Amino acid sequence: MWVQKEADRETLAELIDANRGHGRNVWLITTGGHGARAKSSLPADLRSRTEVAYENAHYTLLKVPVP
Amino acid sequence: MVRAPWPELAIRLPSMLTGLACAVFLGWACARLLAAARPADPGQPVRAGFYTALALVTMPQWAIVSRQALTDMFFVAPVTLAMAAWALAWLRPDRPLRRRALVTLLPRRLRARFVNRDDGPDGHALSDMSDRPSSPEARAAAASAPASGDMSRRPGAAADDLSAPTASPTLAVRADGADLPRAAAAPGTDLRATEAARADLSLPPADAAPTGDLSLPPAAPATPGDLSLPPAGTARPGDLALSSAGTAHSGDLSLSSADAATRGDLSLPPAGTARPGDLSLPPADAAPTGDLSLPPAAPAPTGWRARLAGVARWTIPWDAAYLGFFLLFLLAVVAPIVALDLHVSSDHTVARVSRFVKKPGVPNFATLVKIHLVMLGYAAVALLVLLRTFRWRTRAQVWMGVLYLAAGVSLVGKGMIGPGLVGLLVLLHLLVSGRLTVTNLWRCGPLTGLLLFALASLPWHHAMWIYRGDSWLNELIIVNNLARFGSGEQDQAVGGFAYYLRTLGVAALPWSAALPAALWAAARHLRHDGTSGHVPSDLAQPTGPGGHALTTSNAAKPAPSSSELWRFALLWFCATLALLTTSVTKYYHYLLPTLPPLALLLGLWLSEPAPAAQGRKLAWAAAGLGTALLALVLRDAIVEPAWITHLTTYLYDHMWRNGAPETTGLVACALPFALGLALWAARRQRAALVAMLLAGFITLHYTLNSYLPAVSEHWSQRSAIRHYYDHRGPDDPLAKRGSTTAARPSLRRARCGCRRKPTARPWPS
Repeated sequence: MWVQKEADRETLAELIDANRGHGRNVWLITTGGHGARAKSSLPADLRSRTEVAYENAHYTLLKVPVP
Repeated sequence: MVRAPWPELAIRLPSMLTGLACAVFLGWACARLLAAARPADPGQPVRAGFYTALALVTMPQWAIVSRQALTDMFFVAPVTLAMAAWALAWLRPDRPLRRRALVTLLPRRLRARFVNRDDGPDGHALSDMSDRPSSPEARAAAASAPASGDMSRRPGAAADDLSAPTASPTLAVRADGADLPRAAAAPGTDLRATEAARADLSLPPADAAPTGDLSLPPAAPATPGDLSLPPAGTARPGDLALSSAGTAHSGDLSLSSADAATRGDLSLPPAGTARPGDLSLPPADAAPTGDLSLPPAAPAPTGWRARLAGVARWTIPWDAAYLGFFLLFLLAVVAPIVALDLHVSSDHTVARVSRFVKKPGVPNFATLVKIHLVMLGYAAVALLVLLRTFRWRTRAQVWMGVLYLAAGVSLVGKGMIGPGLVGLLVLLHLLVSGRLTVTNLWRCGPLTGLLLFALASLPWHHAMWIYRGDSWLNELIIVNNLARFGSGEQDQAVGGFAYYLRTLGVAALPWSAALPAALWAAARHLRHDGTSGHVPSDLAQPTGPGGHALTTSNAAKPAPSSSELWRFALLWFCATLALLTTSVTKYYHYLLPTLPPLALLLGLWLSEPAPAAQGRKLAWAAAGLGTALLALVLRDAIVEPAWITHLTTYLYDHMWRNGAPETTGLVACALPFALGLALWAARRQRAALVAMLLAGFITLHYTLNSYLPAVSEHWSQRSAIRHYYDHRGPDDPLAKRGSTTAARPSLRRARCGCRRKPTARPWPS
């Protein structure tokens, strides 16, 4: 598990790039407020693919399929 | 892993057990303290303890903190232990500790070898080492025998523990512990070990014992071989007492009447008929001086055997109170030191640290060696302090030792607030009860106590300081202790005077509704104490460590008043609430330390008889006020359903107010309590108790089995993590960002566990 204390677009992009080409999903768990902004932190080609896998009043689990 | 119950149990169980054990101990302490006051109703102490424990465990905040494994439980439980120990030490009469010789702790076969087989004809351990004297008094006295090898001497003895009358005729053996066996073990003698073991064996203190203690009049220094006889007919057969007077010499033997010897305990042949080697006694009247030369005893063991026998006669405390302290010492001092030392010495740790970057400030192998050496130093100090505790003579000393250990543990649990709270309460109680004198402070045993406190609290802090350096210490002391107390950590976690009073309503629901009635009862007790001319027991009867030695008479001792306990509970509750209120940073869970004293007040109140008829109007007023408070608390809890959750969290605004279930069910939980208050005012005590306890249990059930499962879906990430594990691919990574820990300023600042700028770091999944 990767833990990011603060939103860091570059580090997140590095994580996703490291998983490209393997047919994997990157899962992001974050608070509800950050969940809405998390999509904009992702690489542009992945934003439309991102789906909310689980959410409650406070937390959101995002599933990001990485081609 | 994410569905098995074991990880959750591993996290929750220590906290749950601690919370439960704390409540049980507080109830037990309440019962013991109230029993010392000798109430008219002998069943009242047990009931009070029972109600105290039940009230505490059924308070919602206590239950949630116990279940949620908050670190606060490991701070509040030791504080509760410390304050209960303080009350047990100072609010009831002290008594000497029962003691046993070291040799009596050995197996019988080993014991015979250890104390020198030549000492007795059959290798028995003789009278001064007998493990089971005949009577409780003799056992108590034998246990406290300051034999030659004794490690310490106590200043006095309590009459109720060493209760043989002063004029009791005794067979006084003026011999030090090493010489009695030799004298008795002369070949052919009938004074065998078994008889001696049956004999009453009692030892007066080295110095003056209080009147009424089993004490022997100081005898003139006797010479070796003297056999002193008291007047005939004054001795009780079988009584055997050892003098601890430093003037006694080996071989001195004082026997009572000759006819005493005809009893089975001491078989002494009549004068003139003794065989060679028998311990011959002339008729008492024939030996007015009592001097009688004994045949030479067997050669005394010398060298290491004598020293070994001397060590074997050392006595150590062997009392339930001391054994409890010893267990706590093992848990709070020995176990952490051993665990820390094993950790830094393990191959895994060495290998891990060896991979760290080699630069100043980063731990390396030398750091581990340094920690190892420091832990060895702490272990040596721990051993010395433990040996020092063997010299403790009274039960109150043991409870003070428990206090110091518990205060040290509370420092590890939460920081300086723990020992600060304990120290403040102790000083306040001394002040309020008129005991704040240098003498009493010294009776608290500050030297040994501070060492115990340091041993319980410093090893881990010291190791971390060595490992992490000054920045860690600064973060801990300055930022997380002093700054948080003196300046607000978060804007949303501040409040005024009524902040915790308001929180107490829901934290102790439904018991908070009984607070007016309990406070009224406390005031009634204190007022009654003052107007009746009753001298507060703490002034009339010395308590605390060594307090029993300060009394000069056993007669007509006033029992400690139960109002002492009421006053202590009230002080504990009010001072804790006031201290927490002065903290600028106000989190709801900071209220937790006030719940144990509140439960103590409630337990005392519930165990009281129904209010007197003349106080009926006030009782109805207290019940009405309580019911009104209950209604206000319910209104707040229903309007702000997340409030109960906030009792154990630290984010109270924005989205953290969402997600809680409706709490209208609390009304049904609280209704029986309102009914109970009315029944109490109507003097239907038993029905009132049933209704109140029922309300407590229903509220507990609602909190743990209905409310918490519902909110945990939103406050915890368990379901999200489970969803990931259920639907992930074989190599799918999980990233977590913007966590709640980042929302807490102190944790956002904390870098001591990470590299300098850890924007992202891997964790093992």
